[in-house]
Amino acid sequence: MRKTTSISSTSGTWALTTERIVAAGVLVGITIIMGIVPVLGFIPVPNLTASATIEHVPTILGGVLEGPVVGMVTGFFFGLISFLRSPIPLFKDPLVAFVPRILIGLTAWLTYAGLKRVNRDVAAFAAGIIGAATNTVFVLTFGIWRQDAPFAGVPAPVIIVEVLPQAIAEALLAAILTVIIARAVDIVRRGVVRAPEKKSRDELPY
Amino acid sequence: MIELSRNITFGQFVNNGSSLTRMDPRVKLLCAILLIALVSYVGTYAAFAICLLGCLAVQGASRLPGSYIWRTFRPIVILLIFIFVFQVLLYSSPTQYTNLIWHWSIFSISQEGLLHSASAIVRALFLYYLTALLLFTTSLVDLTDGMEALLSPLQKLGLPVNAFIMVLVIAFKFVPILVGEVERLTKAQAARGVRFDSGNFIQRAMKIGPLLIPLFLSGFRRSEVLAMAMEARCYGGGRRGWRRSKRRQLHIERFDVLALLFVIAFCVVAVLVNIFAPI
Amino acid sequence: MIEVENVTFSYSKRGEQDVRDALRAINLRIGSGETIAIIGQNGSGKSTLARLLAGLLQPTRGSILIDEVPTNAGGEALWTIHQHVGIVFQNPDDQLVANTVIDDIAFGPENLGLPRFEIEERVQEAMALLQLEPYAQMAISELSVGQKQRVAIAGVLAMRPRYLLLDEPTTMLSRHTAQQLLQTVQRLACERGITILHITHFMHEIAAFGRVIVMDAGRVLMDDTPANVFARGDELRAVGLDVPAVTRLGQYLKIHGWEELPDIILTAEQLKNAMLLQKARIPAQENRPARVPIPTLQNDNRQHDDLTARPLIELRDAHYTHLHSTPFAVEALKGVSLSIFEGQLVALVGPTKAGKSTVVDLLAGLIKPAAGSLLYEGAEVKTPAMIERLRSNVGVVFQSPESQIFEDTVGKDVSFGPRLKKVPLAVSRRLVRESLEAVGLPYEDFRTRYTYALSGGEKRRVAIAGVLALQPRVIVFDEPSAGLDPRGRHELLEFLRKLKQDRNLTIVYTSNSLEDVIGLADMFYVIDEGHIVLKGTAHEILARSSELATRDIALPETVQIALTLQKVVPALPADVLRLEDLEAAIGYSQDGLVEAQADD
Ligand SMILES: Nc1ncnc2c1ncn2[C@@H]1O[C@H](COP(=O)(O)OP(=O)(O)OP(=O)(O)O)[C@@H](O)[C@H]1O
Ligand SMILES: Nc1ncnc2c1ncn2[C@@H]1O[C@H](COP(=O)(O)OP(=O)(O)OP(=O)(O)O)[C@@H](O)[C@H]1O
Ligand SMILES: [Mg+2]
Ligand SMILES: [Mg+2]
Repeated sequence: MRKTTSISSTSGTWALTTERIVAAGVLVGITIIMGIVPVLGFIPVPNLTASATIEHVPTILGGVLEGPVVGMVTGFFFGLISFLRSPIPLFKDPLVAFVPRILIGLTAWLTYAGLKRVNRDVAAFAAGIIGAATNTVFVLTFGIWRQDAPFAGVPAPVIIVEVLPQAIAEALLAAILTVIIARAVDIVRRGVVRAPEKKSRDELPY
Repeated sequence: MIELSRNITFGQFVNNGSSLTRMDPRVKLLCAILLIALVSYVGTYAAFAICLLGCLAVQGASRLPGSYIWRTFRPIVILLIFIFVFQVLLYSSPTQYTNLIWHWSIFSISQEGLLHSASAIVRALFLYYLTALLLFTTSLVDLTDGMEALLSPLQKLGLPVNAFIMVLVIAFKFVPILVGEVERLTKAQAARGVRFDSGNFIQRAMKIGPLLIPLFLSGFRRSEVLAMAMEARCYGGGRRGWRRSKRRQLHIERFDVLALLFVIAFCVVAVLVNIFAPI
Repeated sequence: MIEVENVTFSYSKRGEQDVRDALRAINLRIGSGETIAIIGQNGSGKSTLARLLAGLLQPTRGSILIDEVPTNAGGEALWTIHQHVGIVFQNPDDQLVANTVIDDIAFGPENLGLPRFEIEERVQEAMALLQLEPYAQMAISELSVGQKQRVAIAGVLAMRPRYLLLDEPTTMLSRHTAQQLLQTVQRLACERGITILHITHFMHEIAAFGRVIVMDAGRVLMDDTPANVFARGDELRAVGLDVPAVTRLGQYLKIHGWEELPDIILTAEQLKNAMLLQKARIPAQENRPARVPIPTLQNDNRQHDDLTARPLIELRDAHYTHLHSTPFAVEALKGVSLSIFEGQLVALVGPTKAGKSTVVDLLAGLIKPAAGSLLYEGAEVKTPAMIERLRSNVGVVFQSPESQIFEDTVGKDVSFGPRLKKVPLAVSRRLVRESLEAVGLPYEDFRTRYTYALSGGEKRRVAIAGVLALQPRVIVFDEPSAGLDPRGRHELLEFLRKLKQDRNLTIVYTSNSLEDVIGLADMFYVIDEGHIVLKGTAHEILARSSELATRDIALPETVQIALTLQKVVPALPADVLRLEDLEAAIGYSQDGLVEAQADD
């Protein structure tokens, strides 16, 4: 239920209202869960670390559904969580852990807000891709710049080739998940009752 | 087959009453930050040896069984070995001169590569150990209270630190609830024939949607009720000129002061060793 | 003093035509220190009213004054109203904020910016009022629902409110816990002079309140004392409500020989006292009621005691430890043996944390017993092929089924199992249709509905339909009645009865009270702390009712009444299952009683 009143006096794009604090809290909670529940967090890809993560999806959704503040706050705590818990040495560098993740929320929101007029699904898809790409690009840049393991001393082109499959997988996953979740939330918020039927009944199992 | 850690939350806090669990959270966080900074800074094996001594001391003070720590470490060690091999094989020295031991196409093994990669892995192990131990010995309340107290100077500069910490408090509150929800969803799907532990990339990705969508929807629904309940209890995030007070008062005891002094001294020694040691 | 003047409220923001007003022209006056119960069927506007009174929503028309402060003034005025009006919602998980008990109770006072000593004082006081001191430092996630609900109330009390609104706080609680909670609330009203508004679906909770407001379709239908409201039983039934069982019993007895009883009886105690009074006054009854034999329980239960019958599923001395070999290990099952025979309805009853859900997971093949064995059709379930076979024959409806729906439309969710099994599309469509119709949802209407837009009750049905579509031989229901209002419970039990009759399914049903299944199940197992402590038929179990009470298992309402009335009618059996049986039994025993007195 969307509230009709609030004791908070300000509620611009950048204000940290109670609703936004709670929404960010839920998204951070989901991020944490993705780290502790194996079926949710990691999907195996043929790659070095052998898995693509979707932990950045809550941050992207924060930006898309609740605006830049929620996106960035969620991103900050996503950074804190990976700083505290990630086994990969790279994320034990605060610069790599925090800055890219905070930026995810911002770029995802910018993309979505910019393209929303065109089509919501397209906007959500693009926000997913851009958000995931923000993560990959900045983590790589900072990681190579700061010479963190596992990138220390490894030539940049090799790293990029090595990381590319995972980056693509993560971007696509994030995009798809952002579209379907944003759509579901939209359906709930608009109170739509019935799904449109696209196929004839003979082709459906129900 | 399907065993979810219902009671395990973010930190896996083990309340065994050791002196570390009873420490003042601010001091403990400060010590952890100092040690993390130290381990990130030092790079010689002599200094690492000193750090190992430090870790043994901390381990002793935590009174956690070594076997338990090792169990959480096992998967990480495998990953780190992986990373080590990758680093060694692809290592190309910033300078031209390297002692090659073996090479084939773009892969090579050099002495510098071995040394450099090994020190990166050792550093990662230390960092992982320190953060894990911090989480094992700190309750969530201590963690958030300690962070809030340490960051409170920023509140004076106009940053909404309290609201920020509230986000974390709410996140921790939701973790067990949402884990319960995931547990029910996975069980319901498994009982209807889904196998979560099989399938290729695409197949696994397809199985995530039906878990994540209900999770997000229920999360958003709950967040709306909670925001309302919080305002009904006079919480006013974003309200001008509003300040919360705090029930809990943190106390610094003698142990805390000693621990802090010890950590500082330890850091100084380790840094000196790092500067003057040959490797 | 709360003054509600001609309040209308609509949820539609732009005045859409098809949205009915949630509240229409409400007028109320609530003085301080009153205790008020609000009843009404689903969607009648109870929660909306509570949110308006708490200043969380603003009236569309009309005005609400809380101690002369209007709720729509905003700013500081709203702040004051939030301080003075505390509200507690149905599900404590949705409203507790902090991670430990003491921090959550302190949340409100901290928001008020109170000095530290005062916060401490208020927190201690609130904890003492709700007996929460032993749990002060515990994590909220370790508490049971009942304890969480107490924390929620304590958190509101620490604000020192003048008005306490409780929006169905007892729905998620077992009956026993709910009774304790309500006693506490009543005590608060007495000792502190707090005005209580308690929204509920349970008629038997109302007796202790001073005033009852009955709502229907956004209007106030009745506003009177409990006795006067229950005197209008027919009107109540017309709007989907009912009178408590004791009241009905009292009315029956009054016609059948106990003329001295008051018209409206509210509690079993009251009935007992009134009956004792009449017995003392009139030593011998003149007009004896007709002699009605006590109906014995339908003894058509198939007897499986003969050794040749083989159980369909059997657990033999099963052990299970959650999170084995971690510091968080919990030994949930310590040697559980049970046998489930084809076509039976087996009830597994136990208090919270007894291990019921763990047994359910074992039966469904989701976990393996650490020691002991699980047999399906006499063969031990060990190989993956056997597990697969077990899983495809045992369907499970888990605890809170409404949070188990994972597809976006009803059709997709129900056809999920058939789709995975790759049955032909036409067969799958037939299964979906049959399953939806079996749970009472019209197929054409519901197949393309979004699952997000369903009500709680509809979601439960869809979850059950999804299991039926798998065509299992056994269905396990894990606490299906928890969190349901009386009408939902009634529908569920009717459904189970039909399921058992029409499809000859084997059903396992877990519950923390005997109320639901007592007249339905063939076999009962009582589980506590990982052990089976009692097994037998309904009568065998009820014969040990005192033992059940010590294990925090709520007895059926009729049994509770019977136990109370034993003081008046010593020959009254305790194992009465239906109200009619009780009525007949009292008539019969009173006969005996009168004869015994005549002999003296
Ligand atoms: N957030 C909302 N948006 C739109 N309509 C709503 C909303 N909440 C409730 N309603 C509608 O307002 C009416 C009154 O609902 P309300 O929740 O007050 O009933 P209730 O008596 O509390 O019911 P229940 O016993 O199910 O809790 C219903 O018709 C309901 O569909
Ligand atoms: N996934 C889990 N992780 C850790 N402990 C668990 C888990 N599941 C159950 N337990 C513990 O095992 C014991 C038995 O729990 P179970 O859920 O089987 O009880 P229950 O009778 O179903 O209770 P309830 O009425 O609360 O549902 C409890 O102490 C519980 O805390
Ligand atoms: Mg309601
Ligand atoms: Mg259970």
